[in-house]
Amino acid sequence: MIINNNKEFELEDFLSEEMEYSKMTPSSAVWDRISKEVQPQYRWLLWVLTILMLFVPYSLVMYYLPTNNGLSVSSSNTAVTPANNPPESAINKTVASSFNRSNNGNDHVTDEPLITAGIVDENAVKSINNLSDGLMLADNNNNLLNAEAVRLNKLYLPLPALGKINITSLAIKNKKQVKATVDPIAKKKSSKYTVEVYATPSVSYRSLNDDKTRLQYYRDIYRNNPFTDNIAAKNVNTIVNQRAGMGKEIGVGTRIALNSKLKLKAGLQFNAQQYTTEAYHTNGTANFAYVKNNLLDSVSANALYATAGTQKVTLNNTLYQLSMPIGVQWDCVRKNKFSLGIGASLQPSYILQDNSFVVSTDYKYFSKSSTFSKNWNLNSAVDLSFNYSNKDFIWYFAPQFRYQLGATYKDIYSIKEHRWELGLKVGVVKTF
Amino acid sequence: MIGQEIIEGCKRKNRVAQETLYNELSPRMMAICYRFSHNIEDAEDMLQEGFVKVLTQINSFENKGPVEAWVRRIIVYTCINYLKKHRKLDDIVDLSYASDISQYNEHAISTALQGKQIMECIRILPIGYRAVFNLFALEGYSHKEIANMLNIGESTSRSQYTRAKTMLEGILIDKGIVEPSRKAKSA
Repeated sequence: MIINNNKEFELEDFLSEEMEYSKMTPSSAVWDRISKEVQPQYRWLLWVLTILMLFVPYSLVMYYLPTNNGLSVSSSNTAVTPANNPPESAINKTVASSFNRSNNGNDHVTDEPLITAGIVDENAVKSINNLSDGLMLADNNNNLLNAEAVRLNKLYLPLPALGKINITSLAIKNKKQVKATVDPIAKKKSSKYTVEVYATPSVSYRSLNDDKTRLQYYRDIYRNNPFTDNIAAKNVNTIVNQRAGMGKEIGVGTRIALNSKLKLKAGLQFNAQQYTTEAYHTNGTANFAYVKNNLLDSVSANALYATAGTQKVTLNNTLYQLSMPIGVQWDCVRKNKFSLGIGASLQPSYILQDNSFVVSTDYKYFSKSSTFSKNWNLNSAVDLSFNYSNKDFIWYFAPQFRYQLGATYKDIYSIKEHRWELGLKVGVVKTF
Repeated sequence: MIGQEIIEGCKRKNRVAQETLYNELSPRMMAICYRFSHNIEDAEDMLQEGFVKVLTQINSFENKGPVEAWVRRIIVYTCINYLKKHRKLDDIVDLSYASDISQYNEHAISTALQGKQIMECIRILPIGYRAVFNLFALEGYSHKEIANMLNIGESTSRSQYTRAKTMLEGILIDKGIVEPSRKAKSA
């Protein structure tokens, strides 16, 4: 090319021509920042989800909690013998007249039962409405019955509790007297409200499977198409060299006791998964062919890394999720302060950030494209926990297996990736 | 080539369409930002600002002409605003670039390499001159439009361009891209 810079237009033409097709590849962080700015709705949606996830289990707990607040069952309580346990026919009697306050304040009850089929009789409520501040409702073992709850007619005693409290000896007692003898630990044990905090260091693995049947089919139709001609016949697992990496989970949750062994659990969990891929520096274009609505299509992305080359580099792939584990915990073996439990959960997960590299259709390039990433996925987890109880705390560690049920990428992407993790969950449960 | 489907997807704020548009146009737009900027970091900031505008204002694109030209205009305006905002239009020549490009001036070079060389030569110009030169010679704006964009007089724009051009010719000759005999080396 010869130019004569004495003529203005020729220099400008020359420069324009040279600059017209000049290209530079910005760093991948630029798109990450743009994406965050132009899709801001995900931020508040995330906050709403977080609040909801915390609120739902809390609401569940609070729904169950008040019904049991007033009842204390002492561990030292000698449960009534079948002879003392009134038959259902007996407790169906009206007890309004059973409360007779004496003039000296030493209230007492007769042998008539206070509770009818688990529900405090309305007439009984009327009778104890006049309880003065210094008096409480309790049995001979100082098991308390919440008089305020009774007044409000909200107290419901589950039938099994009838066997543990001597309702035939309920009396209105002096508050100070009862408080001095009541077992404080036993009172706490009545609560079902727990908060759990845990962390799980883990090792993240993944498996890749080719599913190019649809692309192969379209290759036969669209012959000489650059996107279908370069479909690799090789197995992706022989091309992509990857290594497991360290991941972690951090979570909070709560457990609701269904009975002494079975608990429902729910919470909120942050997951970080990581693995590395071996790659080589390059500068090219990664093409991804896919079939959507019975049409062959493709997307392209800048590729700075290739599956083969000379200048080796290790790519770090990370995935951040926010999960809501919902599951059950079964304490199958218990001895003194130690117990063994099995836990299982399903975890709807929202993908906060996917910094993974995906391989192009011809297996030549890696590109950090989020085109095929899903926003949601479903994980599952099982664990075997070894628990140690100490007062209000349960300490535990639990080997855990977590598996991602859905493929990482959308169905249109021809490579199916599944992830799983092996971890050691360490946590503490506080009972209130 | 940006298809109508991509543009419609961007208007619906479809993430995949947005990323496709970005992947398609960002290399060329980055080169433009780099010509206006002081360094790579500034260029990436300009590109980010520009694409945020593109993606948030794409509903105003009325399919009159190619989308690339529309994006390019936004990017150029963003670059100018960025320079104004950060008061970089008064910067002086950064001599460090001169040594960066000296390695290229010995032999005949490929077109691609020559393009990079020329870009570096343009970037040696003081940022104020460079802005005027880029806008007039490479982006096709008139001096009147440049005067409005940079808040300067039209005559100032003309004189700055003349000085920038003279300076650039000197740099190109100095770096061996254009020979003193007023002939360029063959590419």
